[in-house]
Amino acid sequence: MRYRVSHTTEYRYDDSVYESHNELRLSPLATPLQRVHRFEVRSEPRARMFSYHDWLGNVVHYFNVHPIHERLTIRAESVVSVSPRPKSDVWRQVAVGDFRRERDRLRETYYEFLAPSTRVPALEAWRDLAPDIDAAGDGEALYDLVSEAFARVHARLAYDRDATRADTPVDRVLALGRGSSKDFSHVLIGALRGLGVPTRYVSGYGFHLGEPGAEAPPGASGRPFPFLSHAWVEAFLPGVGWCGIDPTHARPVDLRYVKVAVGRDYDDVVPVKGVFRGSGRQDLGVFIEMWSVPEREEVD
Amino acid sequence: MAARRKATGQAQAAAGGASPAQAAPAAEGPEAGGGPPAPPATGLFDGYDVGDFFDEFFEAPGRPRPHYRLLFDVLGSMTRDELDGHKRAADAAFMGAGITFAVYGDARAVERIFPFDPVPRVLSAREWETIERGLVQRVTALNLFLHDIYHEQKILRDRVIPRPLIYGARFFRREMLGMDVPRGTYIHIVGTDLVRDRDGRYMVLEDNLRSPSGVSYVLENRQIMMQTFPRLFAEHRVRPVHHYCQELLETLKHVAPAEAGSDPTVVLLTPGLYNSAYFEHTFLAQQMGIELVEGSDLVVQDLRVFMKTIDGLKPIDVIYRRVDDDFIDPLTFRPDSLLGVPGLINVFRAGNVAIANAIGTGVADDKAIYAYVPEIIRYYLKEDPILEQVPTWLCEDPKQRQHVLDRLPELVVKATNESGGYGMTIGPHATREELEKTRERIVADPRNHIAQPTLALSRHPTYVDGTFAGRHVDLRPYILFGENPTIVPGGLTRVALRAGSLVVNSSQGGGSKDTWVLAE
Amino acid sequence: MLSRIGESIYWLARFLERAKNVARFLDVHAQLLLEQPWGTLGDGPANETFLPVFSLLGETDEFRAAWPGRPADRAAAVDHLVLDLDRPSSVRSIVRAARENGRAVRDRISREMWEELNTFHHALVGLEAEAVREHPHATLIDICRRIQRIYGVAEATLLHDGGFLLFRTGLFLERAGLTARLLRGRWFKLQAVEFRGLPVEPLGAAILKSASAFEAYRKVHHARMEARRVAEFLLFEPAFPRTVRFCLASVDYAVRGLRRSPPGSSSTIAERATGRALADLAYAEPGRAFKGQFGLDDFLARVLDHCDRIGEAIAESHFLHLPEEMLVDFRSAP
Repeated sequence: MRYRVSHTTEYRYDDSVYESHNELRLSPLATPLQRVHRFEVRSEPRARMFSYHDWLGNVVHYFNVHPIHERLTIRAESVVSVSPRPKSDVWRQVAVGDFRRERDRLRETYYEFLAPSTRVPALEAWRDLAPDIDAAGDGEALYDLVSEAFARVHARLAYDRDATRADTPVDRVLALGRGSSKDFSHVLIGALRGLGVPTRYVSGYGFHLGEPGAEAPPGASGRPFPFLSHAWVEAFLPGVGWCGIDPTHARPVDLRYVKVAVGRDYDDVVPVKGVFRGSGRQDLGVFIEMWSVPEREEVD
Repeated sequence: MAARRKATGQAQAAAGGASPAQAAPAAEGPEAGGGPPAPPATGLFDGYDVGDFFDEFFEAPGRPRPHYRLLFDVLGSMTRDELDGHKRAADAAFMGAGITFAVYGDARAVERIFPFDPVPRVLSAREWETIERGLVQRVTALNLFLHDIYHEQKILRDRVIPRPLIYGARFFRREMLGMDVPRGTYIHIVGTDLVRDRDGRYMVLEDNLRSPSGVSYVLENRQIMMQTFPRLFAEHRVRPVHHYCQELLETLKHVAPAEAGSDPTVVLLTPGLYNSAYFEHTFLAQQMGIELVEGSDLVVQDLRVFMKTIDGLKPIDVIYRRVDDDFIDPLTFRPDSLLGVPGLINVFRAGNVAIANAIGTGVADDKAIYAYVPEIIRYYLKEDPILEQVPTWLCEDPKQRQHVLDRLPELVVKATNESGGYGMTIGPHATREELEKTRERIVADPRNHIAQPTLALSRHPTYVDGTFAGRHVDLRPYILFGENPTIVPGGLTRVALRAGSLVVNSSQGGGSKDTWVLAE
Repeated sequence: MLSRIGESIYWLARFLERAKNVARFLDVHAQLLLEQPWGTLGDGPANETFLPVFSLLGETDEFRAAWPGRPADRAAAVDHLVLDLDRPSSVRSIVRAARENGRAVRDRISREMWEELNTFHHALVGLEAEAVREHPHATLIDICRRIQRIYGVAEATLLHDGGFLLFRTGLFLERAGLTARLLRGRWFKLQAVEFRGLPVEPLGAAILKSASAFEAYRKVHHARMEARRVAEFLLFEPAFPRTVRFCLASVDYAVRGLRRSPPGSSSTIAERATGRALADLAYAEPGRAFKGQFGLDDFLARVLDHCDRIGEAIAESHFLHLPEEMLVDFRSAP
C-alpha cells in the first residue's frame, strides 16, 4: 500500500517569541517493510533544515527561527510504501523454552528495551497485566503470552484520546482506566518488559483504522477512529525479530500502519519539541491528513 | 645532645589500631643503617604523633623522610609566633585575593576561604615519576574506553564489562552514540584523587572526569606560599606549576575545529555567580585570557554557536564547559535548564564547536565503572596498571551486595555518581541509624552503590592550634590531555582538618596545602 | 566584551550618576531654603517645602502613594529620596542597584573599584535614619564625594576599552537627561522670578549648583544673573563638562569609539541616535530654543526624548541582539 501523509503542526503564541530551536521526528523510517519515496519538511517562518540520525536510528530534523513570530508552522509531507508483514503464525513458532534460554542474552543486548524508562517505570501493576511466564511450559508459544498481555491491556483501558495529556504519567493512566494510543502502548510495554520481552515504542500513522460504524474500539462511543497519528509497540521475539503489535486495537500491525520513529517510550519519539525565548504562551494545533495513493507504474 | 623526647606515636592510639612499636632510637651517633644522624627533635615538632598511619613527613617519630629533611630543619627551628605570622599573612593574602568558594547547606556564610595550611606536602622526583606514568596510562585508557563505548563497543561485545552496567549508568549519554569528537578525545581535563594506605602505597581513589575543580587552589597556594614563606623555597628546587593555564589553553585550542584557523576563539562556560566553584571559573578565564560566559551569552544560529558581544555576534570554536551535561542544552537534555545553550549539541554533532570535556564522560567516573578500570587498561593498552586502585565491591552484583550488607560497619559505602564527599557513609564512624539508612539505600538501588574497605589514609603534619598535628591527606593531580598528556607537578593536596576525619572535601571541613614535586 | 557585561557597566554608571544627582538636588534645595524664606517665591504650603525636589525628580505621585497624608518636608524627602529601600527612587536603592551591577562584573572592574562601591553601599545601609533626617547635609555631601571618587577609580583602573567607553556612555547620558530635567523643572519658576523683578539669584544659583555649574557660570558671566543666560549655559556651553551639549557630545564620542567603524561605513543605530540629537542641539542657535508657545519647555521635552531614544538605541546596538524586525528604525523617526 502506498500512502501520502501531510502532517502540519502549528504553534500560536499570545505574545511575540523569538530564538526558537526545534527538533522534529516526523520522517517515516526506511525499513525492509517500508519504503520512503519522498519526505519534505518546511517551516513558516522559513528556516534551514538540518538532519541527522539519532542513536535509535530515527531521522531527526533540526532548525532554529530567530526572527520574532507569533506563529510557527511545520509542514511535513511524505509518500511511503508499506509491504505486507509476515503472518503472525511465524511469531507463534517461538517457544517459551527458547525464550528462557535466551533471556540473559536478551537482557544484555536489548537492555534499553527491558530496563525501566522515564515514561514506563517499574510498577507492581505490570504483574497483573502479563501472564506468569514461570508458570508456562517450555513448549508453549511465547506469542500466546504476548497476546494474552495485550488482550489484558486492551480490556483494562478504554480508548479516549482526550483523557490524558502528553505528560500524564502511566500510573495515572491505570488509575483512570482510559487513555490514548500512547497510553495503551506504554502500558503494554510495561507488561511485556515485565515478562522479560524487549519491547519498544513506535510512533507513526494509522490509516482509517476505524471506519464509521465499523471497527470502533470497544469503549469508544461508536464514532470512527479519528486520529491518524498513532502509537503502538514492537516486541522482540528471538529468532524472528521486532514484531509490531497495536494494543489499542489488540492485534498485530498490518498494512494500515506507517512507522515514523521508535524508542524506549514516548520521550524518545516526540514528533515536535522545542524551546524558545519570549513570554508568549503557546497553543498547539496538529492536523494530519492521510491518503492512500495508487501504486505508480514508473520505477521509483 | 639534648635528651630526646620520648618516642612519639605511642601515647594516642588511633581508633581501633594498636600503636605500633615505632620507638625511635635515641640517636647519639650514626645510625646503624649508615644514614646521617637524626637531628634533635626541636620546636613545634615536639610531641608530634605519627600514630598508626603512614606519615608523609616522618618515616619514624623524629626522623623525617629524606625529601623532607630540609623542611624539617627549617620548620623545626621556627617558633609558634613565627609560624602564626606566616599563617596570618597567607590567610590575609587569600582574603585579599577573594579566593572563596560557596558551601551548600551552610545557611550563614555564603562565601568562605578554603582553609590553607602552611606546611607544604613534598613528593620526591622518583615517586612523582611513577605517579605521572600511571596517570597518563590511566587517562589514555579511559579516552580509548569512551571512544569505544560510544562507537564500536568492542569492550562490551567481548563481555569485559556487562552492557547493562554501561547502559544503566546515570551519565551514559545515548546522544553521543556514533558521534565523532575532535581528535577522538573525550577527556581533556581530569583530576584523579590519589591516597596512600598504611604501607605508603599510592592508590587511585577516583577519577573526576566531568568538571574537576580545585586547580585554582593549586596555583594560588603556590603563589601565596612564595609570597609569604619565601625562605622555604630557598634551598629546595621545587618544580613550577604556573604554566598550567598556558597548557590548559593549548589543550583547548588543540581540539578546535580545523576551520577555526590558527587562533580559535575559546570560552569558559560557567553556571554563574552562585556556583560553588565560580571563583575558579573567573580565575582560569582571566589567566588564560579567554571570555567567561554564561549560557545566556551564547546563541546558536543554524549550526554555529556565537557569543553576544557589544560588537555583535562572535563565532566560538571551543567551549571549556563547567556546566553539567544535564544542564548544557535544554533542547537535548533537561528542558528546564536556564544555564545552557539551546541547540548546542547539534552544533557539536556537526563538528562546528569543540566541547571540553566532551559530553558523556560521566560514565567513566561512575564509581561502579571505576571498579573495571584495571580491566580497561589491560584491554586497550595490553599493559598492567601502574597505579593500584582501592578494592571495590559492586552492590549491583547479588553476591557482592550481600558481602557488603554483612559488613557495613567496616566499609565505606558510596553512591556511584555523587561528588564532594556527599552520598558517602564511613562505616566505622557512622551511627547505627546512619548504617540502617545506608542499608535501605543499597537495597533500593543496588546499581548505584559501591563499597570499599576503610583505608588508613596517610597523614601529614598540619599546623593546628600552634603546633603540628597529623591530619589525613589525599592528592589530586590534574592531567591535561591535549596534543601530549601534561600533568602539572603535584596537584592539590587536600587535608581533613578535623582530627580523625577522613573527609577532605572543601565543602565538608577540608583545607589544602601547597604541593611540591622536587626536581632532581 | 560580552553584551551582558557591557550592559552592567553601563547601568552601573547610570545608577551612580543618578544617585549623585538626587543627593545633590536635595542638598542644594535644603541650602536654598536656609537662605530664602519660604513663600517669597509663591511656592505652596509652608509644610511642604521639599515638594519642588519631588516634582523635579518626577517623584511627586510616587511619594503621595507611598506616604499618604505625609507632608513633603525635609524628613519626608530624606525618607523617600535617600533612605527608602522598598522603592527604586531613593539613593539607597539606586546605589544598591549600582552595586548589583558591579557585582555581576566584579571580575572585570578592579578590586579597588569594587571595594569602593561595596563599602559605599554598606555605609548607606548603615546610616542612622534620625540623624540624616535632622542634618542631611553631611551625608549628602559625602554621597556625592564617594561617587566622584568611584569615577576617579574607574577612570584609572577600568581598561580603556569597551568597558570604559560604556561607563562614560552611561554616565554622560544620565547626566544629560538629569540636567535637562533640572532645567525643565525650574524654568517656569526662574522666569516668573525674573518677570516679577525679583533677584534671579538665589534660585538661579541653586539651579546651577544642582548641576555643579555655579563657579563655571560665574567665570563666563560676570554680570547680574539672567534666567535665559542660566538656561543657555546649562544647555549649550560647549566647554563645561556638565552641560547638555557637552554630555551628549561625550555620549556620541563614546558610542563612536565603541564601534570603531571607519568613516563612510554604515553606522550603528546608537550612532544615528546621538548624531540626530547633536544635530538638533548644535544647529539650534540659542535663541531658537526659546521660541514658540512653550519655548524652552518644548525644547527640553525634545532633548529628553532624544535621551530616551539614545538609551534605547544603545541597548539595541550593543546589548540586545534582537532580530532585525524588532529594532526601531530611526530613519523614519521625526
